Amino acid sequence: MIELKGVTKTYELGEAKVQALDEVNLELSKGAFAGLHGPSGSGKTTLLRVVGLLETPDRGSYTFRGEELTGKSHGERSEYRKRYFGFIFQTFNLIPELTVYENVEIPLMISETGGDKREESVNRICEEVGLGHRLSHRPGQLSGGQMQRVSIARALVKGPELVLADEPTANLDTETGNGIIELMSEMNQRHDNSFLFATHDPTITDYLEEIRTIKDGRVRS
Amino acid sequence: MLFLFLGFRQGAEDQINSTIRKSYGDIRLTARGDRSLKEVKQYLCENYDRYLERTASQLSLQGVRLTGSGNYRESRIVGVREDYFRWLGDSIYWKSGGPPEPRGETPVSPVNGVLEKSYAKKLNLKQGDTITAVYESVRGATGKLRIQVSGVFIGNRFQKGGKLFLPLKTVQELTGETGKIDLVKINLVRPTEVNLDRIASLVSDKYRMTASVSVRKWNRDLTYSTIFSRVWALMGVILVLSALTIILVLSLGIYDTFYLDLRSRAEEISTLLTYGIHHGKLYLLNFLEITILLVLGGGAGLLLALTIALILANIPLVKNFSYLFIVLGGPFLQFSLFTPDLLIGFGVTSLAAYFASCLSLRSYLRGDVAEIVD
Repeated sequence: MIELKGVTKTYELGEAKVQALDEVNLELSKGAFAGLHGPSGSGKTTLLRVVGLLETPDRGSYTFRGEELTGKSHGERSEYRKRYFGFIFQTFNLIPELTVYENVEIPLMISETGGDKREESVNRICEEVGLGHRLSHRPGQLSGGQMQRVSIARALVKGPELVLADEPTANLDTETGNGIIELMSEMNQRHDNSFLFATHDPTITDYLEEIRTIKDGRVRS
Repeated sequence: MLFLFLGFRQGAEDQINSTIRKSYGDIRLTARGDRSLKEVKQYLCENYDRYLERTASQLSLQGVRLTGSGNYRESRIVGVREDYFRWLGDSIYWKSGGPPEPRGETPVSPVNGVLEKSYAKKLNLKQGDTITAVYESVRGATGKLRIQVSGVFIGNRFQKGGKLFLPLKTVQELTGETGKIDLVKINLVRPTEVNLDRIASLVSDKYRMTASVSVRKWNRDLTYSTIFSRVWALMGVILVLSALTIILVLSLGIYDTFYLDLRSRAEEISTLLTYGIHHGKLYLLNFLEITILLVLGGGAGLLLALTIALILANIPLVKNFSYLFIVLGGPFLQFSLFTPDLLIGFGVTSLAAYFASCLSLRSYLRGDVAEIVD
């Protein structure tokens, strides 16, 4: 489903240059449950951002669903993200003023989904992640695990083809983290979508079907 | 805070206007030759009362200057030693001198008089004291008058000087002009140019031989350039500078707040961006949010300002401060909301909010605060 070839990304910090990605090649098939594993600063997040069209590579090509995406404009990349991608963050990134329902509703509002369908989708996905009884709660009233479930529901509500999760268990204890991974695995199978993780947590790797190790901006295996 | 300040600023300006109008009149009638304006005033009151806010002859006291010149040159009260008043300078003209007459020499019951503060201080007089003055009118009539000090007049910088105020009736008797009113100041309820012209034209046509009509069209430049020019200039500069300062400080504060507020919500913005929101929509959302905040905040601020103003406007100012406000019509602060002032103040601060927020968002979207590498 996605194919990266020779992707390179360099950041300039004043006079210093940081090579975040160095000739990265990566393939991911439809329905994959894969992870990028590596130490902090290895370039996992940058690679995830490139895959998620949040960054543009300096060199290399990126093909998604058979279509070349390098060189796409801001607006075009936004359209792709809106239609095909879901995101899960380490710090959940929930809007504290909004309820669970409203937070999950955000991607549907951005993609201008109609009212009835929106309501039905939000209720269904919240039930699936086990938050049907917490719809009117605000993030401050939830535990870390519940907040990450909201984040998962938000990522899946519009039925994306690829979900990108950046360190989804880093802020959770082991037991809760395992629960979250199991939930994502279940969602992966139920919705027939693909998941790509960035993680340095070795316990997560047990659940992953494919693992790529990344170090100093290079994908090793 | 902005509304409160602008309200009191406008209130002070209204008080200045009110004082000037009261002092000067919108229309000023003066008698031609020896004629009286009594009939003119009566005609106006009977036929145009609803247009008139006030007329000067409604005052019960008539000022009498101790000098030989001025508006009341036909009336002179003399009878005190010249050296008592030497401090007033060369402009004082005395017909005769001598110490105050001892009590009891004149059997006539005293008339009430109001003394100017400095006059009372020099003569060591207080409320309730009685003095005897020798007077001489321009027609040559002389006599003695017992005056009981019924009050002390504290004038502002324009009203200082040796003044004695006596009942109009007494002055008319002393000057032998019992029925004469030679000056009428008129204030209109609505001093628009049309109304002023209308009343002035009526008086001119009807009483051409009796009165000369001076119309003070309610024009700041005209009025302020006469008697209150320096006060107005000073107050104007203070009020405008204060308004500009507070608007500037408030705008900077709002700019800072809105700039930082958007930065503090970087996580929220990044979430929306990852889910594919377009930059244009993000700007639109930001614009709507600020507009709602400004409308709600402005409404709440206006309500709060009105409440505080209502409380403050009922507290008399302290003595020294209220003395300043005699010019402005104190001793209470006046609150008045003036639409252009509010629009400018609110507009500038709103623009600061929009500008700061857009600049902050633009800076974020350009990647100035982007996450670098994990």
